[in-house]
Amino acid sequence: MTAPLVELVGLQKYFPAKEGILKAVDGVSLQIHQGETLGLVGESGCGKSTTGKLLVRLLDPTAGQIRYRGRDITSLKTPEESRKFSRTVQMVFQDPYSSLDPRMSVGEIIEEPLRVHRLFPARRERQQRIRQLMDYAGIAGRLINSYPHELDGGRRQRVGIARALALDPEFLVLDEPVSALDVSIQAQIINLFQTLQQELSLTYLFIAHDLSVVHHVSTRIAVMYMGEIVETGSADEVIRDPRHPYTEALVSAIPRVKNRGTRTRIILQGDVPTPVDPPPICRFYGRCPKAMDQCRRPVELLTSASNRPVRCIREEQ
Amino acid sequence: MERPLLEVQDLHVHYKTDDGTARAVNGIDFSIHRGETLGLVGETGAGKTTTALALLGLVPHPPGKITGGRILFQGENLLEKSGKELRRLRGNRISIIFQDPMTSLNPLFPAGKQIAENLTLHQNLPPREALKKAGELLARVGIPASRSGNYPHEFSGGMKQRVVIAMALACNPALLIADEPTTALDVTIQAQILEILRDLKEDFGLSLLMISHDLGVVAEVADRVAVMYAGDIVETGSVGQVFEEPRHPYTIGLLNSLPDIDAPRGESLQPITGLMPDPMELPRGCSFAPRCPRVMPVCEEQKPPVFSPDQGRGVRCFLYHQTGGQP
Repeated sequence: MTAPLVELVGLQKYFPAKEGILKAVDGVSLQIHQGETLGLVGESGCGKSTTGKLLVRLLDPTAGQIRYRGRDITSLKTPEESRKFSRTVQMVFQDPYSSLDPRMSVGEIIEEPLRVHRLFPARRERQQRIRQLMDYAGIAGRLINSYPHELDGGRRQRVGIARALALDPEFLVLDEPVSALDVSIQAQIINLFQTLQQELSLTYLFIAHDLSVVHHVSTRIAVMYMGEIVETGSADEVIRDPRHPYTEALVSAIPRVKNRGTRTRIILQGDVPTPVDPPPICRFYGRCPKAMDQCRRPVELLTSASNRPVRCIREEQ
Repeated sequence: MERPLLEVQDLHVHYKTDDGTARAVNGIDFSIHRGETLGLVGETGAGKTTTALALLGLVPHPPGKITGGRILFQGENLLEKSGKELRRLRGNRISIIFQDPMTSLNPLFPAGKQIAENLTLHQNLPPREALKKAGELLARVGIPASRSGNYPHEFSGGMKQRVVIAMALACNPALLIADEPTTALDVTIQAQILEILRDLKEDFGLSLLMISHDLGVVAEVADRVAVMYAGDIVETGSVGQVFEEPRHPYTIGLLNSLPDIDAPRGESLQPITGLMPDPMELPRGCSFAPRCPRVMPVCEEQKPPVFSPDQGRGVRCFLYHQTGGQP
């Protein structure tokens, strides 16, 4: 097997909180291979967005490594190195309403990264590049002088995508990129991501809470709960044959339009907890319908017979 | 057949703005029977929330105005009621829960007291008795009565929504309107709330109007579905009819846009091209005509009436003109 494009090794991000230490990301190890889409799913506060921000270096990790093409990028020395890295890795945010500067036109927003990185210094070529990027993202050329407030949500997200593509990145972190969009528009943007991936040979980390969407776009899926990865596998494995009780509950809770009422619904009790000073036991213990006394100890990711890492002691048996 | 609890007939709601008139709701008809759940689905701007507000006499005026139609609740036209009469109905016979529970909760009062307020107001219960009943209602939605003295900020999002549900049910309403009640919640919490709504519906014999953009949520709780687009109801029918054999090209488009978790991967989605029309510049004919893959010349000329291609279904589309539907 070829070396992964991106590798997270024991990645941690802790934040000081009023009641203790918030362990937002607590020992996450993941591999993302060139050309694939890794779906990262979980509920609010599970640490999936923080993981995404660590990957594009919007945050610095508390501990652990992020290797990009084998090289640790958490300790880039010079600004030059950082700049070079930021050209290869870009991010698309959930909320096109707040991630675009309302005072800049579509053209200016897409142009900004080109200016910052001093690419296409000749005005004419730069304008050509902007047109090309708008074309990639499916934005009509006549909108080049429009402002974000004049665009609908789908078009705004396309502007965010064009901006992310400006520096010709290899790897995109997509953080809930379609959650704010209506169904019919959501489908347009999902298809756009898939076309771009093929045409520009991109690798994606697709962060979302909607399992149907993640299953549709991902090669593999990693499930996160309270700062930890609880299960990874191919998209079909994780959805069709979930091994961790949390994944099982998540999959069963998806409201389905087709095949209504054909499966048993597992309703988890309690709220999604925040990992502030979590006790050294299985983090799902309090809500797990299958919890046993033996679960009251730290649980590692165990590789089951099916060769999939699952953080549950039932995999030992 | 028993008369429906709620009958909406040819309802029109317009908003007057400096730039023109936004026709948010354009002559919709639907009914809800006792104990029935109607799901009202549609995308942003389709007119779902405006419809809900109209039912409660809460369309902000100005700029909004109900410009036509009738809303018959237990046989009486709500549009002819005075403000005072409507206030007596709201929170009593008809309740609503919104997406954001803080729309309905006052941050300065304990949860139990806010539920009790409804009971003293509408049922003249003495304060102590009202508080006791508030505690019972909280327990009914899965919150220990001992938390009755907690303030809204002491509850999580899912718990706040439970408090709002308890408040909405306090006076035993005949109709509960739920406007995107789980949209802000996580999947596992959403599942809890949907379960509570299903249970309560049975226990209280409630009729439920479930408004959501999430087709899955509606499919899980509704008996019948109405699909809204640009101020029109374009299709109605049972959940099975609408979601398994959709007839209107918009409904078909919506379902094809949705990733199906049970389908094999790798097939690309078939989105609907284009955007919903601006409510200030609605097309002359069918409002879906500009995006419709099966558009015909007649669709651009006149607005299609409702045809009924099969029992219990209504489709606002000329495609069903030939197939036995009656105008």
